[in-house]
Amino acid sequence: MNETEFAKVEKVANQLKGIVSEEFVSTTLFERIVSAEDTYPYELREREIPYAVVKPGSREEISEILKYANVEKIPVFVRGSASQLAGSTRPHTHGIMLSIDRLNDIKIFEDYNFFECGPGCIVAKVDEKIGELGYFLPVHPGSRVIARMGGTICNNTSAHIVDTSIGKLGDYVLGVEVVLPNGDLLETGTKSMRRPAGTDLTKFFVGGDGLLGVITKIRMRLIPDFKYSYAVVYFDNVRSLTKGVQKMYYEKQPIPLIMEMMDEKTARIGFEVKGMPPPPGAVILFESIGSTAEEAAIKREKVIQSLETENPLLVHRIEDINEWRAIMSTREVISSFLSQSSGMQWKSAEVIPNLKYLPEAAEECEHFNEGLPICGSLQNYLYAHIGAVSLHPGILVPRDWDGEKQREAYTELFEREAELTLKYGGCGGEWGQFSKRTSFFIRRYGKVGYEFVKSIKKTVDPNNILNPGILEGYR
Amino acid sequence: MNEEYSIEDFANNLLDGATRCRSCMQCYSVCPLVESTYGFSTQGPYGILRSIYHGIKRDFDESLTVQDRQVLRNILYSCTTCGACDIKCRTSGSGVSVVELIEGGRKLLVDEMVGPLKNQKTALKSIWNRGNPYGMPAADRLDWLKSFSEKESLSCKIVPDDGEVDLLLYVGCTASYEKSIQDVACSLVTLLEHMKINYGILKEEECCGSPANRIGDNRLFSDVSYKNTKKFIEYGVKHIITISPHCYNTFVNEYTDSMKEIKIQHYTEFLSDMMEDGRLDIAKEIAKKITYHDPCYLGKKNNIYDAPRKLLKGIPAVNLVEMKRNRQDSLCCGGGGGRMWDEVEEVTRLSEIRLREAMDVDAEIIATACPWCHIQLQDAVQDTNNESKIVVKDIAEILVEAL
Repeated sequence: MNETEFAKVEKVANQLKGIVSEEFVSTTLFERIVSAEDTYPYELREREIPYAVVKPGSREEISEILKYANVEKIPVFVRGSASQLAGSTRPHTHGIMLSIDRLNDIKIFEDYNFFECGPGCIVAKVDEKIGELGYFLPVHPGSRVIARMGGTICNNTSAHIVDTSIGKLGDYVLGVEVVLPNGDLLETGTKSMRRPAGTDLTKFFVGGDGLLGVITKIRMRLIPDFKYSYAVVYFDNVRSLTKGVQKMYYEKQPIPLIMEMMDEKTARIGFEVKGMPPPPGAVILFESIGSTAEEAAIKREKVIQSLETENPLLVHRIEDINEWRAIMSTREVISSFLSQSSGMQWKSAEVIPNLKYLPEAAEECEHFNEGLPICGSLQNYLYAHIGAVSLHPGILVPRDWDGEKQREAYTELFEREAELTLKYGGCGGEWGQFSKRTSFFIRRYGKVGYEFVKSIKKTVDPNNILNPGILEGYR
Repeated sequence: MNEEYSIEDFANNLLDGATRCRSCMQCYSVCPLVESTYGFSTQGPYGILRSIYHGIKRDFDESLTVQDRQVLRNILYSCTTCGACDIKCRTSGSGVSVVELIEGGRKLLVDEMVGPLKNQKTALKSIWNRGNPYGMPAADRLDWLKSFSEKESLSCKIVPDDGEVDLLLYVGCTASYEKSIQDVACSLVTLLEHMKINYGILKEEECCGSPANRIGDNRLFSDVSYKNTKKFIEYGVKHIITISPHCYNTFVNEYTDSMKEIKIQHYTEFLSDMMEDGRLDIAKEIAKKITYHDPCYLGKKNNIYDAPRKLLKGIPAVNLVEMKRNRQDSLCCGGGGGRMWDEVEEVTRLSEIRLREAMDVDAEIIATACPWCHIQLQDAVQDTNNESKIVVKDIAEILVEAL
């Protein structure tokens, strides 16, 4: 850091300390670097290291920070747990790193049938808290023990939950409190059970990719928890597996809440890590839901009925929750285990095809990186939130590649993801639309679509203070 | 650090280890630092690991300032080394040895004279000079035995003067010198006497070296472990029980293979075996609600969860209740990782959080089996004025009450 930058750090920190208590501002080199890193392995460039990290405790403090940032034209980057996988939490220039961790209250209003929580609440903790009262949280990311509600709302992701089963997270958001980029405070939505018809301000922020405001409170409807019924089904190959999933839709079966798949190669790894006998083929794991156990079991049978038309190798109905958890854990350990055992970095893509061409798309994903100039020779694996028709081809990227080569490799993988998703007419369903996906957005929705979003952003944030780089497509 | 293995090699190995982290950051979800600090990114395992990585890289290109180095030191020494992150990483499939890397980073800082923290230096110096980290005279180490009155003739042998024993009670520094913990040593002696075991205590017991390893003083640890091993072998020791899980962990996992011939147990394992064999007969009822706090170096590090519980359940009328976080999910008391010897920034003390968890299940007694957990929790009880509601006791003390 040169003297000018050092002076800037001092100045910014002093201003921030006038807004929040001193202990909630950090300017140490290590905090500034680490707070700006995300799940990507390459290092920050020097110009990307924030001036300071601040942890405001209220929306009023956030408002003051944004007002100050507008006056000084300093970018503000909002950070939850940085587990977003399309690069939205990584800054592309110096600025203020604003952590929403401290906004982590949760209040449950059963008489209103909603709960309110801060964006800093950890997803798993909210799940546990409302779960104690018999309610269900409609978002289930792999990162749930660290992911924060604010991030999931900004992405409007239901993660592993099948959208066509119960809808997306945003379908349950009744309203939000937001600090706009200029520091103005806004409350959206309703406290009633019915969400607004017509213009619903909430929709600018839920799934808004963090472009238009800092969410400071979330109000969500309480959903009664379900009863569950589980099964695992093995197929000879991915094609018959995906055709089975098509049949489930075509035969109008009740869609499971969770429906995961792994190709045989990938499943073998997960099963071995968890000390289970090798699977006979590609695997589908699913959980059906109902208001009673009987209803859930009936729905499970209906799904199995469709899958059986594709001649699975084995259908195993699971009655013991511990067995289900064990078998689901085979899916959850794959990326971590492969990263560690290979000494490489796991990177998955998210390819979202249409239903009609799911088998073809899955086959292409089994050879996802073939022919790519940088990543063409790397190992490829395949798993999927198959019930949501969402495919995750995964690649192991050598960690001894230098930072620039890694950046190019990840860009190449995102381009390949874009190519396939465009081919099949889909769009990102889990990780947001911009950052590393901006070029996809432009190709998918054209210049008109992109300019439309840019014009909204410019109106709300004329100085481009809040989370700059996301919309522009920083890599 | 030996001469064939340069600091640079060591640093490169740490870098390699740190890069194996796949940045899922899920270790934050179990780290006690996160809930006891302001929760900045560097106040959790991933952030500490990344700080080591950046510290080494920037040290190579000489861009670290003196202030940066001090910050790095404080980050590294904030860790309690409880091992919750290691378990999380292992169960998720990655298996990065986070604590080992953090302790490696500390060794590097000690080698470069950046670490440890000021009072930790004093503790290490005291181990060099007096054989204990508390600055106490070596000659006073057995004074706690004087609390047994003369009419209680003990069968305890002083090794090597009184000849060979079947079992060596390794008392450890804390139970030897800390007034509030000496009762635990006395309780163990009472239990061993009760069971008529041929046991003894070292005449010149010295620190096991655990603090040196936690704080990063490789040379001191090598010296201490060599001396202790030599002594055990020379005196024909075949079976050791320790009071502290830290001593136990050090002997079992950190001493060289020359200790392999010696059976080493934490006292709870030994007593549990004795209870099963019928040699430890507990007759008296203790009609109390007791919760057990798992010490990290017994539980998370060595998978000893059942023996302490078995002992408590073996006491008639004890109502053993579990805290919400128990066994491998148990919250660290904050005393590990060299933190007993220096103040580490805490917004909410871990021991107070743990105390609240015990009070949430209406426990009347928090039982533990570690001198440091005992001290930490006892302080929490006093500082929060809860003496009338709950007491902290070692399992050995509870067993003596029930004899």
